[in-house]
Amino acid sequence: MKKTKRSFISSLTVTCLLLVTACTTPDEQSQSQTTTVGSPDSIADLGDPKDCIIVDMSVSSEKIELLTELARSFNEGDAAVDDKCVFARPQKKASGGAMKLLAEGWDETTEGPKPVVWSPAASTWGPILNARLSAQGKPEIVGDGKPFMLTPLVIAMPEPMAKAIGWPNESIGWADILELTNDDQGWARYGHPEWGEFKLGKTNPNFSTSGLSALLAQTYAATNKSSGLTKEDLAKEDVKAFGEGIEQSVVHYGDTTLTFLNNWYKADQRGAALSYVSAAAVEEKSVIDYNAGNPDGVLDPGEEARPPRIPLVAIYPEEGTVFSDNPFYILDAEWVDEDEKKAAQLFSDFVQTAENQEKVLAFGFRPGNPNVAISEPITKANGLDPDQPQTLLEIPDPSVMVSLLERWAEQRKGANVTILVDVSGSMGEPADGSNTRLDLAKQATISSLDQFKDDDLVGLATFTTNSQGTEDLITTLVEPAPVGQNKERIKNTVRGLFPQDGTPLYTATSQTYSSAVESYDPTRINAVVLLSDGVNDDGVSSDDQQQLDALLATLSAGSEGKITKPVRVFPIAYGDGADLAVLEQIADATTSAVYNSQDPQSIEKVFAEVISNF
Amino acid sequence: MNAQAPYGNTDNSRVAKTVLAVFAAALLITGALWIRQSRAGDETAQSNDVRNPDSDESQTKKPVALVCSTETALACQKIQDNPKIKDLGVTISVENPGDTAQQFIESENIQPTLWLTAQPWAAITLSERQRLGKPQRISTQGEPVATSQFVLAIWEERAAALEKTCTPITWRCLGDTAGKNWTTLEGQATWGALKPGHPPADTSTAGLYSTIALTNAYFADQTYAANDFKERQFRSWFSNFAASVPSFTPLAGTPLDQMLLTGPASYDYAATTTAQAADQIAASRQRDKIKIVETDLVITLQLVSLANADRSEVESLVAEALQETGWDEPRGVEDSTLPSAGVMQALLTLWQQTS
Repeated sequence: MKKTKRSFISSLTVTCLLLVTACTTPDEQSQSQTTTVGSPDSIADLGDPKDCIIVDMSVSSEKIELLTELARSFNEGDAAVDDKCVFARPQKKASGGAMKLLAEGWDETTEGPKPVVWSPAASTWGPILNARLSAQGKPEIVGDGKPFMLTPLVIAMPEPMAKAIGWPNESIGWADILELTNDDQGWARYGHPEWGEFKLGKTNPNFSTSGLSALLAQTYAATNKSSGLTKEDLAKEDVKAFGEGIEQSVVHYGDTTLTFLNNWYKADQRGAALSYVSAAAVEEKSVIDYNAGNPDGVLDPGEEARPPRIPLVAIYPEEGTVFSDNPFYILDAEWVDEDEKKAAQLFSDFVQTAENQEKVLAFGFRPGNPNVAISEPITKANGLDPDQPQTLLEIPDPSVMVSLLERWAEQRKGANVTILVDVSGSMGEPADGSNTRLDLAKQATISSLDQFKDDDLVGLATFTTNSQGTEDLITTLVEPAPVGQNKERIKNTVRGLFPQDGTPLYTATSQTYSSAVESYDPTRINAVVLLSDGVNDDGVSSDDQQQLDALLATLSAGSEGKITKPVRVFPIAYGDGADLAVLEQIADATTSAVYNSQDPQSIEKVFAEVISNF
Repeated sequence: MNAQAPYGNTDNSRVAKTVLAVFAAALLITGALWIRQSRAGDETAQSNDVRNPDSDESQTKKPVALVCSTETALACQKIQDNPKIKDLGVTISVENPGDTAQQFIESENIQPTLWLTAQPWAAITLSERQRLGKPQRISTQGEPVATSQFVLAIWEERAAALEKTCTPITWRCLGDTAGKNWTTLEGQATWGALKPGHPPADTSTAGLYSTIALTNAYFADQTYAANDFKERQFRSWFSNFAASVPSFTPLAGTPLDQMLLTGPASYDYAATTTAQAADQIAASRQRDKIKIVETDLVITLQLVSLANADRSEVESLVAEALQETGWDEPRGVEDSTLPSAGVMQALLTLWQQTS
């Protein structure tokens, strides 16, 4: 009586193991745009645990505040195991990062205490960890995890746009998105030519769980199924055409949905919410945060939540969707003793109480305790529908998932990218024992080329000044051309780069951007990847502000409005001398995102995240 | 007539010989009994004649383990919390009955265990051990300890739509409509395909009963045999049903748990028991949206003794806990709606092949 019905979880486990990068970066607040890569994750300051049994917890970043609050309340109570008090202590860790540490070895000196409880964003992570441990001949440490809170994947859309296509009276799905995408009239079809063409924000399924879920959902929609997706389905011409059609509407991809939400919010504050993207595949909780004026879910000290001018509404695709369920895994690991397990169970029971599940709800998630009603803020008044979704999608066989991603790589929107590298003198500074900053940047650039598909157009340019600082040297070394044919040439050229003199950041950005606009291809994602380790330094400092203002004006003008040729500049702030503030402004002006690689050794990872936008 | 004693003629020697003979006879009888008793546990026994441990007090052993099928988890938590069970030194665990059955089928050395499970599982285990030529070591004798109606928990709104096609909702109709798009069943497009909440038949009681109910419905009675499963039309019908059962994340336990957690997005109905469903649904946020449809099957629980485990001290605690957690008192009659153990095993094999 061997069980032959493969579970969802085991499928995704195998799938993720088969993939190099998929599912390794969750949609959490771990993006390098907002946090410094390599910085230590935080352990909540909850006071002295004294002689209590400590329940150390590794929790995904989106719920650290909530669990810290719950832990504080729990620690003040009288929970005890054999008369010994219990002290819960959450630590923020991105799901993928925690999984990797648990699989490969958790160094307590750098990562904090090993967890007794692990709560990733979705239950897909537990079996992945078990599978990785098994592959190393180690015992599995994750058992059943009780869902702590849930949120479904939705298509977020500005309310006026949603109303234009029939929300909330009509059921809307991916097929409607495709129809709108394929219509040359764009939003004029619905009487709104001023909104231009339909533009979709969707993350890279090789990096983001939301992206993978959205890809799955659109593919199911193409097949009219909600379970049992097969490779044969994927090979059908109409399914391929459906996928290609949806992908054509994507403005850019990326590793996290927060990029879209932050940019959308900034655009809204400028009165341009309807021109950035028309819709984005995000979690329901993100819609709540956005509408509360807190698009990334975190309010920095002194920051005030200001509701957007135009709220988003959640469209639950009529063809079906999936949930993130935030399980609570009490680890069966050698470092967890029986008392700790019992203590962890007490905390797990505590967070499931109705009173505490009300807090989950207030936080924007659906309670994991099915006895707690779904109410405010998950209400129709807030653009959401507690009675949705009506159909949940099944994750197909692992081989189908792999095939799905392979086909996505063929069907995704093509790219037209120029990589602009700072080769100023400071790039010659040592980054580690044996490499300069430029050495590491060159390695990262070369590695990133494999992320492109063969017909993506990729070019290379550098910038510096002459030794006197009197002349800007902005050099196009390789014109954008299909990377499949050009890869070796680019690699060889990159290998030959060496540090020179000044940093004409503004001029170089402006010139490269202008070239990209000239060669703009509406069927592709047009972008410049700008890597710089310093401030603008072209020998004349008196006109720096003037240059910057002119640059930002040019970039902004090209990015917003109905008829534009949007070329997005994705800056990488490289090293601790990079002008992060200016690079942020450049990113904002082109509604992209800045990536922070202050630790030069993180450049390879950061570069990969940047390229995930294409 | 004088008869001559063959071995002498003195009184003393006659007495001595008589005593010796009686002693020898006693020795032989004791030896025979010992051999017989030893043979009861002989690994080579092929008989289906199962001993009742309750009738052999001298050979019973204290139970060291109580294995509960998942549908009795709540009751077993209560048993675990009962101080009496600690005094008896019984350890309690909860497992999928199909997994437990598989262990007992394969085990060469079953330890004294009590198994709280639905009737078919012990019967299947016995049948499989017999087929494999293994000693039985399992007693299914003794009274059933509890029963509960086998029911479907279905969304009110979807039941109303389905009743337009299935008048009334029967297993045959559920089999016919499984996997069909709701738009063809007078439902809404957003409901997608009709998704049965049918746990795996090879591991769960509700799954096994669903499979039996479906097959009963297809053949219209219980007179079918395993060879009927080769019939092409039946296989196609059964396969379609099995393939229509989706597997979802998040994993929230049973299909009913999943329905209560994620709403109608997951399953359109769940196969369960009144004992498991009634309180759970009443307490949940979905309570006003779910309807219970009774089937003609009743799940009967047994406390099965393995390797002569003594159930006498545990039985009353088990019965009490089951009643406290929604199970009904046993009805005292064998369930005639169940096919034979061999047929049920064949059904499980079919489930594995088609799901």
